Amino acid sequence: MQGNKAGVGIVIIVAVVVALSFSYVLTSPTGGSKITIPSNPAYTNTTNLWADAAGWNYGHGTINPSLNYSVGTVVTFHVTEEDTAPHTLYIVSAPSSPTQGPISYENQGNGYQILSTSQITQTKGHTVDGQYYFNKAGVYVYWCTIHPQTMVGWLYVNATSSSSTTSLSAAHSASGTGISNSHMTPPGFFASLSFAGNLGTKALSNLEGTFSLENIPSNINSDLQYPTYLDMSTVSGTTGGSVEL
Amino acid sequence: MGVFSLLVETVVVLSVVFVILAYLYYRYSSAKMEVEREADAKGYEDSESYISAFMAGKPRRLDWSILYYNDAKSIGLRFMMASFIFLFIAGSFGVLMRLSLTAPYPTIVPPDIYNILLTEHATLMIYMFTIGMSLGLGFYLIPTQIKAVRDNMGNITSAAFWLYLVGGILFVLSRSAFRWYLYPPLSLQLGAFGAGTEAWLGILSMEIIFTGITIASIVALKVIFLDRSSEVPLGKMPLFTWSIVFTLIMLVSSDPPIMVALGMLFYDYFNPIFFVANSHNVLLFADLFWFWGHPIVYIAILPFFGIIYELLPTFTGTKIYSYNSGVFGLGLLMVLSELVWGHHLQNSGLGLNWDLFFSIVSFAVVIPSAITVFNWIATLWTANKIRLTTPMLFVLNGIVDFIIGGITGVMLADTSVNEILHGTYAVTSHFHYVFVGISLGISMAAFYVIFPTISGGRTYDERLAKWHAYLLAFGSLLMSTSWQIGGWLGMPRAVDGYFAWFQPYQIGAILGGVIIGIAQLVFLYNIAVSWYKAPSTDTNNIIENPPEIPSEAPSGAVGGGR
Repeated sequence: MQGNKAGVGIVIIVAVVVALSFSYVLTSPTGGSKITIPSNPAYTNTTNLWADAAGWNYGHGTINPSLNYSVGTVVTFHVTEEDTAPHTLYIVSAPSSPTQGPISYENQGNGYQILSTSQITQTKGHTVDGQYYFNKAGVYVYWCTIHPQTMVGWLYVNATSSSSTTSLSAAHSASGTGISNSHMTPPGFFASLSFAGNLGTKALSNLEGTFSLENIPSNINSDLQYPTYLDMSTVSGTTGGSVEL
Repeated sequence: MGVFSLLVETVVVLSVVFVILAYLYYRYSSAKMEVEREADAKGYEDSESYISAFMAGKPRRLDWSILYYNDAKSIGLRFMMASFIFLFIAGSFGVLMRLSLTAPYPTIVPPDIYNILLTEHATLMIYMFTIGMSLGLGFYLIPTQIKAVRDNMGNITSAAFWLYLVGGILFVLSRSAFRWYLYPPLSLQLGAFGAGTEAWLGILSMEIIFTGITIASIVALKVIFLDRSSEVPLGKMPLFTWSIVFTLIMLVSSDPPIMVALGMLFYDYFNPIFFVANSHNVLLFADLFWFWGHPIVYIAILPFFGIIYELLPTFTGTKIYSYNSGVFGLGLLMVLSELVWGHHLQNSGLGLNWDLFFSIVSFAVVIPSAITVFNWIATLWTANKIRLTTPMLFVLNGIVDFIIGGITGVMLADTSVNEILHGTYAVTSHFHYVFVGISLGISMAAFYVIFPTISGGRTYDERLAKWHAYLLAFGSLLMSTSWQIGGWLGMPRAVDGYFAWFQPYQIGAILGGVIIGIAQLVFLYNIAVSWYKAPSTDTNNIIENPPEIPSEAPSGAVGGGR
């Protein structure tokens, strides 16, 4: 290494060693960050979503509908673009308290990306499919990372019942399974389970106690940046309630 | 790939590796035997003494012979070159981590690989770069500084170096993902998990590195205390030698706990009795680790304080303001470093009394740090003229960065502040201020200073070198300041993503990190280009042969407040 070329020698040695270590570390087998879609799932479901900056399914029934699936469902999200804004579709675990921000899911800060901005092409009327395999029961949030305030809704994966009834599992309750109402305030927000909606058409055999609407923070939207599904217009004339669980 | 072709491929790769290793070993041992034979013929007891004798007074140049000459200077260059290579590996890992954080979710590397990069960046930087550079500078400079009369344990130091190098290579190969502090139970995962991480190999390689550096430190201490010329009494030893003395005492006194802990950790693979939940000692490993883990961060900066002390007199033309307080400050840093390990564990439930104790002792570290910084500033203040050469730019940047990093660090030691800043980028910011400014910057300064010596009289390109210094200073400041602000706002560190509202701080840090990376590339380019030029200067350097500084400062200089 004597002579003029020693400096070049050092650079070459450094470059080779750095390249070797890079290739060694970067080719590590990674596990768990990609979802495998089983070819033969227990259930399949195709959910139609309309992407609009004003909210999912804006102009197509309930805005930001709560979605209910059974564990083991491969869901195909059939997204139709309603406007020319960029959108994404992400799945993330539900926060466990109103003050907690979105928590990561599938090792990613914003949640698992089902559809990216490049797949949703900002062309009105364009449709695209994204798949996800829900193999863990729980409460999730589906959202568009570009419109986190408007395009966000709850997604319940039910451990016990089939998708034929609109039941949901209360992830943070001892006996919440089987309480059914698609308009229910998501469990996990409060010590008591609060809900509202037209309960007259639902079976309430599993519930005990008295029910009233309470403990709903008025700033819940601004704190969480998720709208909740407490549709006050449907409360009147119904049995709303909360029950200590 | 079928089993058969896999087998064939493995056999071919292993054979090629073995042939290369055998050839290298043949070259190594034949070159070494030749040296031994020459030494024998000339009547020397061992080859190291022979090499030292015929190298005495001559500059040690960088060539292949550093690999088989076992005198202290060759081994010093070996350590320095190895640690430089590990600096570039770990540094590029760091830049890659930054680049992966351009968006709130991992972009370039998947999370598993991010964790590996994080661990490798930290471990290689701390164990391979800073310790390697400390030992390298020590072995290279100390024999001259203390006019060593004997140099006869080179074979042992050489073995220590190869252990250190093999340990570093094995650590890269282990793809460890347990951060640099190896907490069980994460480090107790035996098999490959995640991204093929082999934690057992990581632990084993750490043990090998520790064995190597401990042996090397003991030999270096022996060189300083037993082989010193009688012309250099303890009270006149250069401050760099003092800083190495304190560094090595810290190394030797505080790494037995971690070596024992690593042994116990390895034993846990076979018989989990030490660091498992039902041992009632869940904090035991953390304590044993940080008992070493705090001194190591002082080990990583103290030698560079010594280098600053060596460079300041030359470029300011004055003597160090106070030699005695310099030695005292460095020594007090050594003593206090052994007492503050608990401030890394303030949120672990040591109890309020211990938290307060560690908090108070950590505040006391301000005293020696301030003595040291005051000494530097007073030296600058009393100077007639400060020459802003490249090494001096690094020194000034190092002083500024150390002041900022020290202040942000001492705030972290406050128990209540620690409660909120613990685990945020504020911590990362604190030690990157110090490590980039002091460890990286000053080792670069030292390299520029000894460049004419190791290159046989060549000069580096001053313009490129200044670009290197300015870019490094700016990048370090930008990166660490962004982290500091983000950290106070709660940005969690050591994760592969962040909440989107932290984006500005992350972007700042990414820019800073990339600028540091570019600065290092400028440095590499500078070396390659400068080595092509013909030798044009003498091979002395100011650390080994400091210019004479008049003991009486010119009139009007002292006080400096002109």
